[in-house]
Amino acid sequence: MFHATLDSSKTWKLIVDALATLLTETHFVITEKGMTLRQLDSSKAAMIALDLPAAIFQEYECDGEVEICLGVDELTKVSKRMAGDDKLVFTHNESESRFEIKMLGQAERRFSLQLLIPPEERTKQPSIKFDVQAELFADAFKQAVKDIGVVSTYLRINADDDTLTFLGDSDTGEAEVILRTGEESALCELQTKKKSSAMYAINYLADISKSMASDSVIIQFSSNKPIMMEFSIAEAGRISFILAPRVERR
Amino acid sequence: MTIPNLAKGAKQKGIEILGTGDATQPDWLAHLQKTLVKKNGYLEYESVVFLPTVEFEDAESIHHVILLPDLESVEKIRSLIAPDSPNLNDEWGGRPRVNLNGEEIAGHVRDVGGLIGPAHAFTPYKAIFRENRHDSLDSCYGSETKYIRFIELGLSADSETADYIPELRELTYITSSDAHSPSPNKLGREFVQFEMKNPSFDELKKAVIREGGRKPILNLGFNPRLGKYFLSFCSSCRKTLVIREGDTPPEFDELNVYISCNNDEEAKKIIDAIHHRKVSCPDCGKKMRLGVRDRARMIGELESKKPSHRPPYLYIPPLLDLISTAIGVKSTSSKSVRGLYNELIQSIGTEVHVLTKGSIDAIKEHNDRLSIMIDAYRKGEVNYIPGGGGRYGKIIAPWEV
Repeated sequence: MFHATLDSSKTWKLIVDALATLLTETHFVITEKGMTLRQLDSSKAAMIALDLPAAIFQEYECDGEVEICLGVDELTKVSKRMAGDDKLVFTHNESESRFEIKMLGQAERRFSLQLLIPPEERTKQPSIKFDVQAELFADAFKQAVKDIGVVSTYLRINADDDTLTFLGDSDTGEAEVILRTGEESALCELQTKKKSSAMYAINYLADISKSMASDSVIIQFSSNKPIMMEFSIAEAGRISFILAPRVERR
Repeated sequence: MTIPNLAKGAKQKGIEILGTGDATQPDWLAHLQKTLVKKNGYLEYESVVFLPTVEFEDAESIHHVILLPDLESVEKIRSLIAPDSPNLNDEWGGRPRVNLNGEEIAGHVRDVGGLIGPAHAFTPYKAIFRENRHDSLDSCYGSETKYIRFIELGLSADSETADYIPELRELTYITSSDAHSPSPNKLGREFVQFEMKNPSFDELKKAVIREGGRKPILNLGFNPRLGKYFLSFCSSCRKTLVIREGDTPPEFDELNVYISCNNDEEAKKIIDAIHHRKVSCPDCGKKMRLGVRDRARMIGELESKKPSHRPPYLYIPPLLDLISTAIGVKSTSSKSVRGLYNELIQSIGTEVHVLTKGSIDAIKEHNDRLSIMIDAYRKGEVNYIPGGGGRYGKIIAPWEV
């Protein structure tokens, strides 16, 4: 049995939008502690991890462990129907294999979604060691992605001891955004084990940055290795993305 | 295209038996009847034997290759399919549409004493094993499956690709190519060498079913890794998928997406996920599609197992193409390319002989680079960048390695 309420439909929409950037199906594992999701994109080239502790919900009840597997398209369509001030009620209807989302506002609206069969295996978070960890204002990251996107479809990130640089180039020109550590800087923290440089697809970064509702984001990467971006959601919740790098071989 | 031109090209090339192609097209059939002479039980033109062949397109748009014993059987099959073929007598009806299923067509072919098998079995279009069509011979040919004794591999596959599928391992693989011109780089781009006593249809049938010591002894053809659809690919940005062993993190470059798998089970899951359109390209985000090799692995097993009867497969392009690369002249019809070709044919032997058996030292006397290339091809030591996503693969010339 699972039942929970959430006061903010905006938070739920952000979560669904974030999941939709990478996944076609969502596989939530719900326990008395909260709701989690760890999923690789089918290509294994991208990963998303979500932790929503029970505390972010106003009411929360869960007996044992419940697996909820839903199509992202359906979840997105339903979340688009939510009004800004709706209160949400989630219920797992085990007997009919449905996940119910009730929207309580000027009217009481109920959507009942057919559950999909959960995958046989659960995804484990890969243990990747990173050479660079930076915490920066989410807005600065979003702007950097947009700036580089003006000229390029790829974003290169370079890190040394005190500077994080975002770069892009193409036939049309080059763009560069430099963040240095310091009191007034948008770069709050930078730990660099060694100078690193890596490149990632900007369309994924743009989609992910749209779902950043927090003040700051932590990015971790190494040269020519995946990047991990982690930010908070609904204060106590966390969401992280791992993306494959573009390497240059030839 | 005429029989005399084809016979001339075949002799230069070293081909002893040539399929007529389009045998049921009325104008072409009339030409065959007029020019071919029945001698010793087979159809000949100036010592080149011609075998009536045709491709049919069935009601599911699958193409089938049909080998027929003689011109009488061509007439018979024409009458059998006439009620179901809207374009049998059209000027462009060389590959007639026959609105019957594979089983019904195979039944007609057996009735007239011919042989039938899937044409270019793995191409993404008009082929039996294309996606969302058949996963087995049985689902296409039904009760006639036991009479299917060969498949035509087509440019998209080689023996190794087809041998991923257990039910195909018993069959003989035909490498053949449509000749749209009798030029030596078009005619016989792919061919099969058979061990047989004479060039009759009966002997060929025995060789296809490997009976009485008759058998295929060599497939020669295109390397499918150079084809446009060999590897799985992103349907938008056309990057191709390379599955590596191990657990290194995923990455992509200008041409490929690299994903690591620890075991065959993981690789199979990725292939299944691509088939179900669940794998997104890590670069552009669009869905990936199965290439020919992964489609074969999905239908069959992850490991290609070569049966003991399978002859060697020699990947080697036409001699004119090799010469143009060796001397650095793009056009295969240029004087210098044709000149060297004629020199080689006159002093060493037919093109097939030059490519497969001619002395490397003798070739070297004509052109050093050409001898290096032919030697590398014969030994299977040619390096290449695989193709996929609509992009042709690329040979790396031996002297560039």
